[in-house]
Amino acid sequence: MRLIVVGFGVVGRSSVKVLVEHQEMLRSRYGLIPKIVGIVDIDGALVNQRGIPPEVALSATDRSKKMEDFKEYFVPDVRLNGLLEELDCEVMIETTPTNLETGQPGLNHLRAAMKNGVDIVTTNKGPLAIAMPALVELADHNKVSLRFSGTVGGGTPMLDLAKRCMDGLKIRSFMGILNGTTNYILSKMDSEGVSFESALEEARTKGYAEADPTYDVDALDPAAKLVIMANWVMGKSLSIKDLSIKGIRDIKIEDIKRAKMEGKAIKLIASCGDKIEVAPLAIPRNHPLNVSGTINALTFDTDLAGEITIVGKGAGGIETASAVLRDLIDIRKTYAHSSMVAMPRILRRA
Amino acid sequence: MKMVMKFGGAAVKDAAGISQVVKIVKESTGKGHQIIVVISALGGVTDRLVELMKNITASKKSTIDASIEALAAIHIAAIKSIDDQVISQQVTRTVRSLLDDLKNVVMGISHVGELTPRSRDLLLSFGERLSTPILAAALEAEGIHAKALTGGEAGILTDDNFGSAEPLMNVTSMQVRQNLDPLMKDGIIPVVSGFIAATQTGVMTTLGRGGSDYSAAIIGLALKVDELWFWKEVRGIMTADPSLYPESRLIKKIAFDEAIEIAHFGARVIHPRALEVGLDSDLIYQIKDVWEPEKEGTHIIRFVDENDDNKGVVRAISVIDRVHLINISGARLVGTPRVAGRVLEMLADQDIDVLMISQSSSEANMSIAVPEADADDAMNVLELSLLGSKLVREITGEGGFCIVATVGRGMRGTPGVAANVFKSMADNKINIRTIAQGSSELNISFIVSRKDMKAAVEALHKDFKLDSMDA
Repeated sequence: MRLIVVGFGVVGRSSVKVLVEHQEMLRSRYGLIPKIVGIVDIDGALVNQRGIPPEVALSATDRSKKMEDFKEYFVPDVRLNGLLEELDCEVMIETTPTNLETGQPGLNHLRAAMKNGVDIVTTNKGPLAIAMPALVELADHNKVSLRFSGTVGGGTPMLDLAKRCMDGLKIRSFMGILNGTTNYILSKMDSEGVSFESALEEARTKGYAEADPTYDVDALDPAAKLVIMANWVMGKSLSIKDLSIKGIRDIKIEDIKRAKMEGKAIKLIASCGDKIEVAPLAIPRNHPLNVSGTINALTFDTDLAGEITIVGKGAGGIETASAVLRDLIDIRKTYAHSSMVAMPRILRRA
Repeated sequence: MKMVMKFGGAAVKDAAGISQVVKIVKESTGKGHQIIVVISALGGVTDRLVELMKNITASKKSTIDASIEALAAIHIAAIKSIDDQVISQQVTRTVRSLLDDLKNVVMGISHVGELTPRSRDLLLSFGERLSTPILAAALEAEGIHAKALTGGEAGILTDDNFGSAEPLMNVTSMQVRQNLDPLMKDGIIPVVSGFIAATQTGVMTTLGRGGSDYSAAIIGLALKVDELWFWKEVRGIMTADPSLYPESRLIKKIAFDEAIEIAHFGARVIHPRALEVGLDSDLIYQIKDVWEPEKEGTHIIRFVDENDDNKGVVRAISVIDRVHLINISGARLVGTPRVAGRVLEMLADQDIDVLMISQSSSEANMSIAVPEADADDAMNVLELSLLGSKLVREITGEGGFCIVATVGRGMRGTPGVAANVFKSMADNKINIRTIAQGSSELNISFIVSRKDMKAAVEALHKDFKLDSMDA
């Protein structure tokens, strides 16, 4: 399977690393032989139609290395659209940073791939948060797979649990914690009685929060995930602009203490039921969603099976890369099982 | 109020039409409305393009030149409505350059000697691509900022089913908002070509018959406008065709599903596809007369208020004229469910529109109504394929009929409507040949002889008290 990796940050690098390090398992268990024909990032690309040698790809994942260090494969100034037309590949792995205002550059990357009949695995929430109904429609029109397991819950299969393991159930609603950083901050305030500011500072030093924590503390990140979940699982047709979103900036230590006295804990909850919103909410301390640290958790309320909760790490390079792997294996299976229509472009053309 | 205004080709056929459109737009913006204009090709232009296309493969360079000069004349005449010299010269250059493109396209097709659906759409697109910049320029000359856009530039993205492309609605909605919202924010009126759109790779497509109405509806839905105004050369939807019954009245307010029924029955005021867009939305459509803009036209809305005084059991009487009735009989039809399916399939293969079917539950007999123009073809294909089959004993055809339909959502669940319809026919000694009522109960259709057509419309119009509706 020929792959092009677009975006070479934490998730892009981790994905390449996992693909190379687990190639034997992928081959023997799934007949998936990953061949990375391109790695594209803002300052250029590594390209080789016959596959960038695994040891080169692996070495490129080293943070201290730059793309131009691999002269043999380095191409400066590439345009993805042109590259996709030139290179033969079956799947694009899109891992550029999330932008929740415009969805770019991910949005253009996805559209370029679809136009060229290239299947997609993405971990980028931006394009989906902004234009998911349009993207799903375009993928369908172009008969390409669009997989995005890694956009929600990191490596924890939240989307797949709902979509694949709940056949026959009606999901009445779901609610959960979809952002690790804010959960870390709230847990810290709860357990150690520290202020929001100092909890945030600690999250920063531990690398959980970014220099600009806006997407996390103002709840845009969990809102984006909620949009994806609501659209995919509940059949909504939403964009992040349609949501009511409230972050945790205004949560005072007094609020946390008062909740604690009442046997409750304040959590940043994304919910999809009567209302679709993200907001801080006091939940009973014995509630399954009362998880601490950077953990994510999601509870589905189903008609026949009652409440089902899934808990796991919500972020992390390798964890998210495992979701990419899952999606790739899934796409691999569709190639093997389906008719020519669902075949990758290259086989359809033959 | 944010609204889409759609102007048809009949309304904009010349300089006077363009001036009238500019006047209407100017008045509306003066009232503080936000307008998006959708425009068809100038009147008669699309027909000329079709004409040009028909003999394109055979035609010589000289005839192509002549056709294009004729098109140039129409558009240059329309530009005469623009007083501003600079703007007028500018748009003349635009039009000339488009006509050069058109010529190249035509020559290309002529050389290849083959007209593909794709090049057909490209060729047809010139009608709207020419009218749009002229209207935009005419607005500019009156001090109204406007920008001409093709359907594709506005954001309408379709599949590649050339000739009758379907928009990808989610992508289209997103793109239309992305492209038009910023213009409107800057106080610029988007003037969008109706009928044409583009695929994701930018290839020109057309939306099929009635496509301009459809474009307007698509854009209206995407931008969530308050109202869509369709400017026509008629005041609106009437209770009956005035040429059949001069006393017919204007319907002031009607529901989308009723309007769709009426539109299907030949009253081509507005295309059913445009109405279907509105069906599940909260959009309000208005049909208005371009030459009498101050007069109220027809409002088409999601539901008509149940307490509305205007609401009758029957809203309109529609007629499809020149219908041929085919009767298929044979005892062996009983219990052989495939016959009906085969009949329809065969007629569909011949591109013959089946207007009405009725089959008795004994299944011994089946009646099909087809347009008179297709009658011979229909009879031929049915005879050839059914008569030898032992299932069918006899196929007979009879011409000189019309379909009369009463339309109205008020008929739904109201007992006795059918009885009243047929009593009304009986009182006037009009013989009914075949009857059909869909389970939506939105219409009751029946077939009568053409000679009874006017009498039937008049009788129904009177008996269902459509005359007393205030106009």
